[in-house]
Amino acid sequence: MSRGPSGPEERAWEVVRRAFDERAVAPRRSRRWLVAAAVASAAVVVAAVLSPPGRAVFHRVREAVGVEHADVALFSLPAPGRLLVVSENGGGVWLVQDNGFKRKLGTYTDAEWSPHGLYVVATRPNELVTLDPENGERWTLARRGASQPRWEGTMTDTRIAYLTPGAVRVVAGDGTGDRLLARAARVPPAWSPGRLHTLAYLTPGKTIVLQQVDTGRVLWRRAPGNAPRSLAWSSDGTMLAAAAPRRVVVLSGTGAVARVVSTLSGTITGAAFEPGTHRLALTIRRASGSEIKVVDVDHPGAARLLFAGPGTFRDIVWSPNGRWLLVDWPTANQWVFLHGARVHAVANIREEFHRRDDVVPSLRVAGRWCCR
Amino acid sequence: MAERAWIRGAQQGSVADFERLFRAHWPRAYRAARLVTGDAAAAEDIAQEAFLAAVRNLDRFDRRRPFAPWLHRIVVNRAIDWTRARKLRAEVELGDHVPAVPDPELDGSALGRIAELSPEHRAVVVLRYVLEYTPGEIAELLDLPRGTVNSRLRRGLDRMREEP
Repeated sequence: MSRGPSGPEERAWEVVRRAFDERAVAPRRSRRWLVAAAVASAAVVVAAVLSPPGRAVFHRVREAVGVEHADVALFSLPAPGRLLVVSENGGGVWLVQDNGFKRKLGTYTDAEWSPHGLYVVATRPNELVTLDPENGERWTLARRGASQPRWEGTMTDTRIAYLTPGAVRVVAGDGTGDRLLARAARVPPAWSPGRLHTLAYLTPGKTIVLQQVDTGRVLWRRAPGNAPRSLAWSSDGTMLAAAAPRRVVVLSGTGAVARVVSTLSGTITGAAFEPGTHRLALTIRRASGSEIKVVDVDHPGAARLLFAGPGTFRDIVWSPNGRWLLVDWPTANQWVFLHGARVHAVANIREEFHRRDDVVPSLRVAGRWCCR
Repeated sequence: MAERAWIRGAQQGSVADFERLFRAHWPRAYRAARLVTGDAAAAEDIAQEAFLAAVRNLDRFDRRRPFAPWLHRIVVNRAIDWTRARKLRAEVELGDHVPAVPDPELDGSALGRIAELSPEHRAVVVLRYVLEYTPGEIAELLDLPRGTVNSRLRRGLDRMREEP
C-alpha cells in the first residue's frame, strides 16, 4: 500500500481529514470561519483531487482560492468569437467581444445567438425579443413567462424555440407563425444541428422527444430513466447528452442509448460537447470542491480530469473553434480558460459585470460563445 | 480495546485518534473494494465514501460495537452496486479511471480469477477469504440467508478453480 503523497490512502486521508475537521468544529463555526476554512483548505483539497498521475492538468492554486497569476481584468478572449453573458436576477445581458470590448445590451432575462451570430434572441418578463446588437430591437412578441429561447436554421429560414410555463413554443425568425409545439418540462430545448428545424425537448413525463417542428413529425421518444436538467447536442448532431445530477445519458441520433456516464459521489451540474468532436466536458460538484472532466464518448473508459478546485464551478462553454473551455468559477471570482495544459485565468469577474444595485452578479455563459 | 479508545477520542474531536482509526482500516477497506470492483479508482472513491460516512455518523456510533463490520458493510454493498451498474450500462464512471493494467494484487494469486465472478459472488469471496468473516457474519453484513452465502462461496470457489 503506497503511503506516498500520490497514493490512494493519502489522497483519501486528506479528504476525510478535512471532513473530520469541519465536523469537529461544526457547533461553533461561523460564516467567516467557513470562508477561512475554505481558503486554508484550498491547496490541500486541490492536491487531493488532482493527484492521480498523468491525469490532471493544473496550474498552481494559491492559498487564496483561484488560479495564481490571473489577469486582473478581461482584456480579451483567448479565441475568436463573441460571448453573451446573462447576469441573472435583473443584471441584464452583456456582449463581450474577443478584443475585450464589452457592452450591456439591455435588461433582458436571457439571451442566445442566432445561428450565424448576426442577431440575438432575448427575453424580458412576458416578452420574446430579437435584436441586432448594433442597431437595437427588431421585433417583440408578448408571451407570458417566455424563457430559454433557442434559435436555429439557415441564413434565410430560421426558427426560435422557447419555453412558456408548461410548454415549448416555436416562432419563425421573422416573428411570424408563433405556435404551441407541445407540453414541456422546464428544461431548455435543443435544436438538432444535423436536421433542419428539428427540436429535442423534455416532456412533463420526463421523456425526451425529437420532433420536426414544421411537420410535427416525432422522430423518436426516449425516457432516459431520470430527469435531465439539460440537453446538449454534439456539433455534428449525432449525439445528444441528457444530463441529470447523477448521470448523463448520451443518445445517438436515432435515440438509442450510446453511453451512460455516472458519478458515485458527485453532482453533475453541466455538460457540453467540444465542437467537432464527441468529447463531452462535464462539471461535477463534490463535497471537497468541483471538477471538470472530459469523457470521449467514442472511446469510453477514460474520464480525464481537466481542472479542479475548491468551491463551485458554474457554467462551462467551449470557444467556437473548440480550443478553449471557459469555466465560470464564482468561488474564486474568476473565469478560467483551459486549453490542453494551458490555463489562463481572469480575476475580478464580478466587477467586470458590476450591478448598480451592488448585488453580486450570477452569470450564465453556457452555449453563448459564438461565431468565429 | 485500542479501537474503542480511538473511537471515543475521535468522537471528542481528536484528529490523531481518528487518523489511527483510518490508518488501521483503510488498507482492508480499499483492498476489498478493489477486489470486488476490479477498478482502482472506483475502489478509492468507494473506500473514501465509506470513511466520509463514518465521519458523518461518528457521534451516533456505538463504541461497544466493532468498527470494521460497519465499514465493510458500506464498502462491499457500494462496490457491488458500482459493479452491477457498470456491467448493465456499459458505463463510464467519473472516478479517475485507471487503464486496465495487470493488478499486482491479483496476479499469480488464488484470487487472480475473481474478476470472472459476478459482483455478488466476488463480495462473499472477498468477505470470507480477504476480510476473514465467517459465513454467519457475511450473512448479517449483506442481509442474506446463510444458505445463500454458503452456496455463493461454494460456486465462487468452484469457478475460480476451473481450468481457464
